[in-house]
This record gives sequence, structure tokens and C-alpha cells, in this order.
Amino acid sequence: MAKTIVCHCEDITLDELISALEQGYREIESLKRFTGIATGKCQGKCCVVQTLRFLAGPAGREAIRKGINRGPGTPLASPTDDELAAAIRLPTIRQPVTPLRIDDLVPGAGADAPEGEGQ
Amino acid sequence: MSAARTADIVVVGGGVNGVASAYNLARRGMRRVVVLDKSYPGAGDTGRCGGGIRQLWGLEENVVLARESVKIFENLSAELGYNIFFRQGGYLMLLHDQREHDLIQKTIPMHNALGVPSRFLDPPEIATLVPGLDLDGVVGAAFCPTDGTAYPFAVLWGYAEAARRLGAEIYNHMEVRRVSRLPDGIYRVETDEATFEAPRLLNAAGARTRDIARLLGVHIPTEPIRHEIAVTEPFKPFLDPVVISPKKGYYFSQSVRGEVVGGTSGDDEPPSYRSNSSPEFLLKYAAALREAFPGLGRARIIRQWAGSYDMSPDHRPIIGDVDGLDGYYHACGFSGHGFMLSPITSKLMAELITTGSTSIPIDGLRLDRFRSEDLPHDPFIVG
Amino acid sequence: MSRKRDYLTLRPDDERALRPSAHGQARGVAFQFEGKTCTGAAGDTIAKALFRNGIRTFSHSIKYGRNRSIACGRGRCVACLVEVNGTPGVKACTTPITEGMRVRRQHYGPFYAPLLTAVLRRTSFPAGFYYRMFTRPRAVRRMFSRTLRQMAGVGRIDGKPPAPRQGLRRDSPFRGLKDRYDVVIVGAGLSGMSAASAAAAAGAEALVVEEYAFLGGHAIGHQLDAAHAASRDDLARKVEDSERITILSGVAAQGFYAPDRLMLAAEPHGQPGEEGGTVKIVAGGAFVFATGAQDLIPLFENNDMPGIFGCRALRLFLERDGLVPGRSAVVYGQAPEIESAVGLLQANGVAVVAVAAADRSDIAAAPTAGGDRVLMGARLVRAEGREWIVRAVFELHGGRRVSVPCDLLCVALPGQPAFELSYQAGFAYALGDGPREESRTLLPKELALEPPSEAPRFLVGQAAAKRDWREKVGHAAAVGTAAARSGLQRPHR
Repeated sequence: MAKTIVCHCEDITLDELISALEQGYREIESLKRFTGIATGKCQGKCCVVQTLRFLAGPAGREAIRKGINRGPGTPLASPTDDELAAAIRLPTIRQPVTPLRIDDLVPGAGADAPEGEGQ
Repeated sequence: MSAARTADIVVVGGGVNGVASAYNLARRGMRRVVVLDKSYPGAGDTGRCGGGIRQLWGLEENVVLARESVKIFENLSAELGYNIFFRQGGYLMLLHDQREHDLIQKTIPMHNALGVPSRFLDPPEIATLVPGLDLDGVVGAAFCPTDGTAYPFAVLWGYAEAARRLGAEIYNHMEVRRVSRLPDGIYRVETDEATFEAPRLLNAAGARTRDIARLLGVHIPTEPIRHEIAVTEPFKPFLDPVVISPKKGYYFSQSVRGEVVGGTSGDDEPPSYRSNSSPEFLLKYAAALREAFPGLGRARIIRQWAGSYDMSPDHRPIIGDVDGLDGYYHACGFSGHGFMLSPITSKLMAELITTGSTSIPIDGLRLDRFRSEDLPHDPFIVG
Repeated sequence: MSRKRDYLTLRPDDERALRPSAHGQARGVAFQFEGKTCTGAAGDTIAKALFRNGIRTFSHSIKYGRNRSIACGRGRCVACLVEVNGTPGVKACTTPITEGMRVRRQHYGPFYAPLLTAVLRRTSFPAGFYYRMFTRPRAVRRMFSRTLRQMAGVGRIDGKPPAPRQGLRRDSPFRGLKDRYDVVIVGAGLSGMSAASAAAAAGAEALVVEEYAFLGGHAIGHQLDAAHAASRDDLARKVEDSERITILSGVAAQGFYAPDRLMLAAEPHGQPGEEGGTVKIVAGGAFVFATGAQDLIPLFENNDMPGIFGCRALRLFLERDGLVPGRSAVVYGQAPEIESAVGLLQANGVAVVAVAAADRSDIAAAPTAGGDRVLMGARLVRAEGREWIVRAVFELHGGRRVSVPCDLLCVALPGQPAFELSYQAGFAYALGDGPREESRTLLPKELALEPPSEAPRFLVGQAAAKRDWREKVGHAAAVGTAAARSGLQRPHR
């Protein structure tokens, strides 16, 4: 069965994303940490939009509804389509935007670094 | 507005302490336990902490609580049916001067007498334990092998799923707007979406506990102090213990996923609820890390964030009930150690709430202790 | 191990790079890949040098061991990571090779991992399985945790500090930089340059921060229309000539810190400046984000297959690097990206064997070469190949599937406005509408700020979801003027 990759950094497939939703991890911040999506080196630049698109589509909503009574949180009531759409938002994006080498953050330390090596 | 929902207890705050307490209450047979959190699971300081768990404390009472917490952590994955990845790689507290050295030499026998297997390491032993540490200026270290780290989100989710299996209800994105006490002693807790009424209230809202308490006329003298933290890309395992330096003010450890998580102590930080990051921290932390472990110069920091320590005046938790307010309980003031104590805190809260007494005496942690001038301080506060 | 093949079609000026110069010195650069000595040309990126030597896949993904190669071309993704001189996670697409560099594939696990990944390749464990499996007894749980710990992470940290750097040196770009500018503009594409020029004309001291080494952003390539290219050159000249504009190229903005600061990081193969390191924190009276747009590869089977490129990434590889990664391409997407992608490929000597899109109107304007196919009502569902793509599979109306052999699949879809920095800076984003899931992008909404404590912020260009270049330039100029006015008014802290 061919895999559809959602998160290239952490190698998370679409099947895994669906599985997480069906286990009740539907909040983007919980989904992120539970699956690993957007927690790798690129911190979501290459996968967050595709994930949100999926959550907003029919397959995503179906998976969310399947898992509505599972997971770490209780829903107050079964969410409507509008409520599901409103819940789709970007997770927090933190600094730095791309990984920064510790040597490059320390004055003088940058002089000691592997040959010709870059970011 | 629809009718209020009734419960046996309303827990304000869905962080690890609130949710773990809900689990323990449900386990003790309390039927309708309701937890309210204003955001997603772990949005508060549970999701922001470094996950360190230690027993290296200076005051006996603190050591006892930490020891009991570790005992629960050791079996928590099995108890919850959820892997929390508690790794007992130890805590290595580096000592930089004679004063620290002497203090540790006096403290270790106390630990050992209480069943905590800490010991003193001289620099060659430190070098064997953690090859790569720069030991310039280090006179020795305190090492406790049963300390370690766990993944805070896994602990929170594990407790939450287990609590819900036992019938507890955990509501996210429901911010508590008003809390009042009705004439018959029932607590009325209002959010925008629903209102709850219960004869008991557990206030475990992290740095916001004092704000909730104020609504009931209770004054809790805590202050939120921002602490910053950062994480690197993941590496193959190279660091077993959590390394902390009280003098230099840094700490770092390697998670099961391989990332190095760490931070510096927040000196000169004025009290605030700020959770934004600063570039100064990044530079300061990078310098501290590189000085402590030069091989980390090639590591890349991928993310920085911040959270609050809910600081109490004596840096010890504020737990228990309050005279004259039957049915009200709180757990706060953990001063940066809420996560590591959460298993024992939640167990004791559940005991107190359901039976009126606790298996470990916690009278010394009551709010009213601040009426006295003479409070013991623990010298081993870092992170 | 595949025999060495010439995957790289060199452009005429590149041919010269490997020939000896008039003084008889070869300008080739010798480096090592997996212990084998290879030759590249001075100025090659690691990726291009590897392609010259017949190496197209650089590493394996961490969990399933899938082949990875170049993808985004600008250091945003992790596809092209290699290990250089013992340091893992080095981006082959943007890092230049140097003499004696030791490059290795990125490893992902210890000896038993290949067995486990062979199993994982054929299955898909449910997400978070490691939270629920082996929770007891303790001995099994510990072993499981230890195994996971060994498998996670890439690369090793040892006690030794990194060796002294001997690579390229240049003066720190931050030497002499002020701590505050009236207007800070992130991005020197057409919109960024237009905003900078207007801000300077309105009297502001402007700082332009550009991540590439050149100005103009993605407006590169000789098939831009003449007016577009002229506008770019004209703006670049204005920006370079202006005394009020300071340009930092090869510098990336790494974080926005409220209320008014930006952290900048220089490409770290230079010498640190006296101010310290290769990082600089700069304050601004106002900020303009001209951060452009990026490709998004949609979700379809094997969408991480080497050989799949977004149209913007392809432009960078072809026009910036002179690296032609394939010979027969399929282009899939929407107008107007399809048209420009087909033109780009053909101008670089790549045969376009098929063009596929959902709608007839997307393809109408695409120039086609003889013998190629046009697929309408098509949805990209699968890529096939082992170490590199050999076939793109489309599903047409009615469910019929069509396979097209190719060695390059260009996904030419609407770009996603860059959002990381501007989201940090307080802009809200919401998922816009689109005819299909794969065409929906996050679009910026209004910014809610509390002046005067917070520095005013603006979005221009593709970052503001503006696509027509004339419209972008005009809008950016107006924003530049407005930013200058607010930036000049803001008190220095």
C-alpha cells in the first residue's frame, strides 16, 4: 500500500494523521504533538497547510467525528460543520524560523566550526 | 441560558495537576468530576516545561514529596495504560564552589536516610558519566540516579484518557469567567458555554490559580515569573542525566526523541504572564550550553518558547484547603516543579477531598503558613 | 549501486567551469562522497556537485527509510540533508562545496533498524502506537523505550568541540549595521524592492534583508517577459544606488520579537563579526514583509518521491543553479503556473511529455512541444519509482487512471503566501477557498495591533496573496511610503 507523506521531516503518513484524528487528537496543537507533524526541522513549513486542508475537507471531518468521544478532551456537544471549520487554525510558530547553530549564536565560537560546513 | 450542570466537583484548570487530580478522584469513586480548561490540553505550563523530575532537594519535606512522586512515575505507564516515557537517567547537579560542595555533603546523608540514592561525584566520575562536559571550575556534583525526565504531554494525555475512562469529563476551550459561592455552599462556575455547580471546587489553574481564588475572596501570594526554554534537533542518545548548574543557572537534558531541551534561570525577570520569547535568551542559553558542553556547538536550536513558574514566597507548593471556605481546595505555587510533583500532588488532593486527611502530612503547605515570618527555604532551586 | 550517469545537463557557461583556466589551474573542487573522491566546480552547491557525479538521492527518511533528494531548493524543507564532516543535517541544496569536504548520506538508525523499517515500509502503525504498546511489564517497557531512543535522532554529538573552521571566509555582513532602522523590509523580490525604494524616497532609512545572494527573488530566468525583467532590473538599480537603503543579502530573518525587533542570521560560512557571532538583532520603526510564496506539494501517494518539484523550486534549480534534474517532464497544476513552468522547462532543454490539469482553462495557454499529451479533468494521485520518479499517475473523470512515464514531475500550483514570520508578527491566517483541496491556501487576514507600543507591520507581494506583478509593485510602493511615515514617527526606544 503506497504511503502518502504528510510530514516529510518526521515521516508521518496520511494514514497516521487519520488514525490520530480517530483516536480523538483533533486539536491542531494536540495533533501536532501526538503525531509529530510540524515538530521536525522545518517546524511545519512544508506540512501544516496540507494538514489544515485535510482537516477542512470531508475525509478529515469524518475522521474527526469518528474520534469525537475519544482522546484527552470531552466535547461539550457534537460539533457542527461550522464549528469544525472555525477550529482550523495555524499552530503557534516559534522562533527561530529555521534551525540556528549554537556556535553561530555565540560570539567568537563561530571561528571553531567544521570545515566549509554550512546551514 | 440553559440550566446549570451539576457535578460532584469542578476542577478549574486542565493542566497536569487538574487532570491528574480528576483521575485520582474518579479512581476513589467520585462520580461526576468536571475539569474546565480555557484552551487546548497542555496550553498552559504543563506543555511548556522541560519535563524534569528530581529528588535533589534541600528540605526534608520537599525530598519526601519528590520521592513519592518518583515512585508513582516509575509505575505510571502501567497504571494509566499509556507510555509516559519516564526515563531515569538521573540528575547531575554541578557544584562550582566550596560552599555548594559542603552543602551537598551535608544533604546527601539526609537523602539517603529518606531512601533517595543520591551520591557525590568527583570530577573524574562526572567525566565518566557524561563524557563531553567541560568541567573547568567544577568541584564535584550531586547525582541522583533515580531522577529523570518524562514527556509532559504524554503524562497529561495519559491521565486525561484514564480519567475519562473512569467517567470524568474534561472540557477544553471553556474559560472560567465567574466563580461564586451560593448560600447553601454550592460553588457556581460560569463559562461562556455552560455553567456548573458542585459542592466542591479544586482550583488548579497554574499561574492563574490566584486569579480564580480572588473571585472567592482568597488571597494567594504567588507571582508568575516567565522562564524561557529551547529545544535542539534530535540526536542519537549521548546524554543520560539532566545536567543542572545552580550557580551558572542553566539546565539541559536529552529527551527520548533525542532533542536537547534546556533553559536558564530567570533572574531579573519581573512578574508577568508574558509567554513571548526573547532573542536575548537564545544568545544567553546558547552561550551557557556551549560552555557546559562544547560538542553541542554543532547542534541547532529549532524552537524557543516560554512559560510561567507560579512562584510562592518560599518556593514551596501551596496545597490544601482554606479555613472558612468548606469545599474549596487549591494546588498551586509549585515554583517550577508542578509537573514533577503532579503524581503525588494529585494523589494527596484526592485523598484530602474524599477523606479529609492525607497519607503524607501536608499541613506545612497550607496557605495560612504565610502568616508566620519564619519559613524554611530550600537552597536547591534552579529549574 | 547504479553506474555513474550524467544526470546533469550543463548549460554552456557551466561547461567552462570545469575546464582549466588560462593559467593552467583547474577550477575543479575535489570532495568526498561516502569515501569516494568526486570532483565538482567552484561555486557548486553540494547538490549540484553530487548530481555531476551521478548521485541523485542523498539520504533516507527517518522512519520509513524512504529515498530523499533535492526538493525546495532554498533550505526550507529537509529532503536534501546530508552529513558533512561529521555534522548531520546540512542542506545540500544551498551549501557550497569546498575543497576536501567529506559528504555522507544521512543515516537514520542502528543495525536492526533496516529490519524494522523493512517491516514499517509495508505497514502503517496507527499514530501514537508507542504510547499504547508495551506499557507493561516494566522490563519490556524499558526495552521498548530504549529501542525507540536508539532509533530516534540523527547524527551524533560527541564530547569534542567542533574543529576549527577552514572554509569560505568573508566579513560579517553585520559589520557597521545600525541597531535600528526606520523601515525594515524582509525580502528583496520585486515587491520588497518597490517598498524599499518608496520608503527611501519618503525619507526613511531602510534595511532590506534578503535570504538569497541576489536581488529579485523568484523573478529570475530568461523567459520572464521583457517588461517584468526590466522592472526588476530597474528596481534593483534604484535599491542599490540609494544611500538610504542598506541591503543585506544572504541573510535570513529568523524571528520576529514583539514589539519591534527582528533576529537576523547570516549564512553561517562566514567569519563572525566583532559584534558577535553571525546573528544580529535589529529594531525597526515599521516592518514590511515581502517574503513571497512557496510551493506546496499536495497529498498523493508517494508524494515524497525524488524527482517531484514545485514550480518555484524548479526555477531555482534551473535558473539559479544551472542544475537540470531530469530530461522528460510532466507538468501538473493550474494556470498561470502551468504556462510558466512549461516555458521554464523547455527553455532549459527539458522535454515536456505531458501537461495535466483539472480544467481545460488551466491548459489552454500552455505552449506544447510536439508529441506530448494533454490530460484534462486530471487529478494527480500517485508517483511511482524506486529511487527516483519513473511515472506519474493521474485519475481522470470517471475514475480511469492514466500513467505517464517521466523523470521529472513539476507541480505548478498557486503558491502559499509565506507565513512564518508574519504570523509571529501578529497577522492572522485562515484557509481560503479553492476548487480543490490542493488549491486552498492560507490567506492573511487583518492585523490587529495596539499602536503605539507595537511597530506597524505590512504585507506586500505574494506574501499578501497578490500575484500580478504590476499590481504587486504598485501596492508595495504605496505600502513603502506608508511604512516610512509610521516608521519615522515612532520614537526610538
